[in-house]
Amino acid sequence: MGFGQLAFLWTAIIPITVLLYYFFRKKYTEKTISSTMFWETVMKETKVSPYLQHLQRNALFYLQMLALLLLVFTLLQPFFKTKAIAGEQIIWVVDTSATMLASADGKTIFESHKEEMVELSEELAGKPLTLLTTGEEPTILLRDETNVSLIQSTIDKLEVQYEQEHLPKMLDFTESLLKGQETAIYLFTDHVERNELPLENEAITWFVKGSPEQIENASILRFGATQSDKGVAALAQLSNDTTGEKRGSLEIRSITDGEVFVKEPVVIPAEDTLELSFKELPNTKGLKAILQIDDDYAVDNESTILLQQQTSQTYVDGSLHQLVTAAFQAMDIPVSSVPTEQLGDVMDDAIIVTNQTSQLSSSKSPVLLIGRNDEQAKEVNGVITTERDDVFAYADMKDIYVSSVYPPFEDYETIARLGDDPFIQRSQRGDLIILADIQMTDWPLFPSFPLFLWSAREHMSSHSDYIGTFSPNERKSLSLVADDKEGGWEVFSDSDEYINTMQNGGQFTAPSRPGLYVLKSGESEKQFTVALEQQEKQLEKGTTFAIGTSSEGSVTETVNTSVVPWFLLLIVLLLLIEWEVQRRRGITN
Amino acid sequence: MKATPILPADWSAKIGRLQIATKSKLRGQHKGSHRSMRFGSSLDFSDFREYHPGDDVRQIDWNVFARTDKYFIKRFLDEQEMRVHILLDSTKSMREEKKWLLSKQLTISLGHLVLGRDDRLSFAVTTDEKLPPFRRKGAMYRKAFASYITDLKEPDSTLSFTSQAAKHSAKDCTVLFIISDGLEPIAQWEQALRTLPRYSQDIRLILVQSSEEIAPPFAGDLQLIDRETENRLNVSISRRVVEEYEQKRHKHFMELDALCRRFGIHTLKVETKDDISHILFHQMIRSNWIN
Repeated sequence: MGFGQLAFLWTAIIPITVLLYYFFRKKYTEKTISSTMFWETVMKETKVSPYLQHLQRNALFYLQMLALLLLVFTLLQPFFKTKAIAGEQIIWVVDTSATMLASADGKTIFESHKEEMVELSEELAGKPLTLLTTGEEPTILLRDETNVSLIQSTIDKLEVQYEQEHLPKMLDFTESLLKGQETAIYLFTDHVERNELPLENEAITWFVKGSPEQIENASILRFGATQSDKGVAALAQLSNDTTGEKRGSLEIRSITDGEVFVKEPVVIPAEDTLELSFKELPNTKGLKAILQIDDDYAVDNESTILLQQQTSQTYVDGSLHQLVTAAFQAMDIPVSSVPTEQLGDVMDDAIIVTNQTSQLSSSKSPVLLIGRNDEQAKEVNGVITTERDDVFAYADMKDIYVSSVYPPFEDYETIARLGDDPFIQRSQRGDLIILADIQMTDWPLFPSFPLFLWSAREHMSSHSDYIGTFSPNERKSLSLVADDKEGGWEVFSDSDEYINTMQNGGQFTAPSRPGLYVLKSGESEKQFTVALEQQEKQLEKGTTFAIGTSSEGSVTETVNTSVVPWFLLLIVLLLLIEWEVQRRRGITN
Repeated sequence: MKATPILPADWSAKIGRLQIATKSKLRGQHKGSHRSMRFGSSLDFSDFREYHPGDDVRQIDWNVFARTDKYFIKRFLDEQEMRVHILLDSTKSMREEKKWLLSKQLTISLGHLVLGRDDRLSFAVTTDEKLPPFRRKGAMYRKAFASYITDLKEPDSTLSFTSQAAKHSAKDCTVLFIISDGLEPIAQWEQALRTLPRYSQDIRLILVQSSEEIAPPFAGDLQLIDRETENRLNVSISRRVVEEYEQKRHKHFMELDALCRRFGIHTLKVETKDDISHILFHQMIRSNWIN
C-alpha cells in the first residue's frame, strides 16, 4: 500500500475540524426528572452493549467522520501494489505455425499457450497489450488494448494458421511496434534459441514460452510422384525425430476415389529418415500419403500431391525488344534470355517468348508469340476490344495505341481485336499470339503490359484445372476470370466444405489447413493443394526462458493499483447512510 | 417565617364542613367527635339491653324499670376520636416543585379535616434524620400544622420511601394516608405494602403524579438524571421511545394498583395539573374518602 499524493495530507484538517466541532458541540441537554426508571427500561433493549449504544447515539458523527477521513485518504491516492506483468508495454507474439499443434499431455502446445495467456491477461493490471500472430504477414490482433474481456475473447478466438512462423520477420515487425518504454515481449512459440532474439535493446525483456517437453514426432518429410508411361512412381521420405524406433504403416491412396494403392508397415529408425519408393502405381490425378504412427504431431503425417506438371522457367528470345524482358523482371518473374538459334534446345516445360512463328509448331512447351517473323504488318486504326478471358483479368487494354498488326492465324481463337482485326489470339494448345511487335505499339508504356505478360505466363504455365501447391495462407495473384454469374471463385475443401470466396480480380489467399482444395466458379473447377512448409515438419524441444533487464527479477512486478474508485463509492454510500440516519432522526437536533 | 401561603386564604373555611369518611373501627381512646360503632357515652341513643350483673348500674334506665319492673340498660353510641396518620414521601423524587407543592397542599388539607373534627393527627415525613413527628389533636392546631408543613424543607431523603414507610407509620391509626409518587420498583412497593396493613385498617395511598411524568414533553437528545439515584441516562427522544416509556409507566402503575387491591389499600392518583379543590371536592368525595 502506498500513496500517490501525500501532499494532500493537509486535507486532514477538514475531519479534524469536524472532530473539534463535535468535541465542543452541545452535548445532551441535561434534564433532571423524578425517576429514570421507566426510561431505563425503555433504553434497556438498546443498551445490550454500551459500546453499541454509544455507536448508535453518535451514528451521525461517526459516519461523517468516516466519510471525511475516507475522503482525505482518497485524496492521498492510495494504491495497492499488486502483482502484474512487468513492463510498461506488453507485446504478446503468438506463434500460429502448424508445429504449435503438437500435443503434450493431451493438449496441444497452442492450447496450453492459450490457457497461459488467459492467466497472464489477469495480471495485466491495465497495461496496454499488443497481440500479434506470426506468419508470412504478421497480424496485429490487438493494439494497446487494456480491456481484459476483449483480450480474453481474442485469445479464445486464436487459431493455428499452419504457415511457418517467419521468426526473423516477426521480430523485426515487433521491434517496429516499440515505443521506447520498458517493454515485455512474450513469445508464445515452440522453439526459439536465445541467439535468435535481438537483444540489443535494453528496454525489452523477452519472455519465451516454449513447448513444454520433448515431443515425439514422425513425419512424411517428402512425398513426390512422377507420371510416366509405365505408371506412377512415388517416393516418400519418412523421418523420425524421436530417440526410439517408430513403427507404423504408410498408406498411399488416390485422391479421386480414395482407392488404397499401397499399404505397408514401416519401421523408422531413431533420429533418422526412411526412404521408400513405389513404382508402377496406377495412373491417377493425385496421391495422398498417410503415415499411421503414434506420435504427438499429426499434421505432418499426411501429404497430398497432384500429378501435374508445372512449368517454371521462362525463356525470352534474345531478338525481342528489351522491354519484354524488363516487363517480366518488373513482375519478379525470372527470365532467361536465349539466342534465337538455341530456342529449339529449350526444355519441354519452359515457356518461350519469341517472334519466331515456327516455334508454335516445333516447341512442345507453350509459346508466347509477340509479332510474326513470317508476315508483314499492315497499318490499322481502331480501339482494342477484349474477350472475357483470364489473361485480361488484370490488364486493361483500352487506351493502347497500335499502329499496325500482322495477319492473324486462321483457325486460332481471337481474344482481343483492334477494330475488326484480330490483335491477340490463342491456339488450341494454349499458345498466345500478340499480332504486333513491341515497336508497333505504346503498350509497354502502360502498366497493363507487364500484368498481361504475367497473366499470360501464369496461364500458360499452369495446367488448366490445377493451379498449384501453396503454403498455408499464401497470398498469390492468380489470373483467373470467374464465371459471369458467380462473380468470384469459391474455395471448397476436399470434403466439399466451403472455405471462402475470392472476388474476381482479388488476391487469392490459400486456406491455412493443409490438404486438397477446389476452386469453383460456375462450371469451372480448379484444384490446388496446401502443403505444410518443410520447416513445419520438424519439431524441436523448446525452452521457456526470459532475457532482458528485468529478467533477473521476476516475470511479474508490483504495480500500483489505485483504490480511489472504491473509496469514492464507499464515501457515496456513507453519505447515503448519513442522509438516512438524518432522515430517521429528524432534523431536530 | 411563613413565606407564601401555599393554599388560598379561605381554603380552611371551604373544607371546614368536610370530614374524613372511614369504615375502620379502630379508634383512639380519647373522646372525639366521630360516632363510633361502639357503645359509649355520647348523646345519641342506641338501644336498650337487659341488665346483667356487672353492668354499670348508672346506666339503668329507671323509667323503664318503673314501667316494666325490669332492669334495662339504656345504651348510647360512643363518640370517639379518629387517629389519622399522614405519611409524606420526601424522597428526592418528590422534589419536583409542583409535586411537592401539591403534596403539601394535600397534607395540609387532610390535616385540616382531621384537626377540625377534633381528631388526632399525626404526621411524618420520611427523612433520613429522625424528626419528632407532628402529633396534635384539636382544631386549634390547624394553623400550626399548616405552617409546619409549609416550612418543611425540600425533600432530600436518600433512602427509598418504601424502606422507610413502615418506620414512619403510626400504630393503630384509623386512617393512614400515604402521599407518594409511587416511583419505586414494584418489588419494593410490595414489601412495604405487605407490612403496612399492620398499622391501619384503612390505608389510603395518594399517588402524586406530575404532568411531565404522564406525558413527557421532551424532544431531542436528553441526558435524563434521576433525582434520587443520580443515575444519568442519555435518551434520544423519539415517538417510539416515548410510547415505550408510557407503556412501562402504565404497566408499573397497573401493577401497583393490583398490589394495593391485594392488600386492601385504596389508591387515588392525583395530577399536578389539577387544582387542589378539584382533588378534594371531586376525586376524594367521589371515591368516598371524605364526606
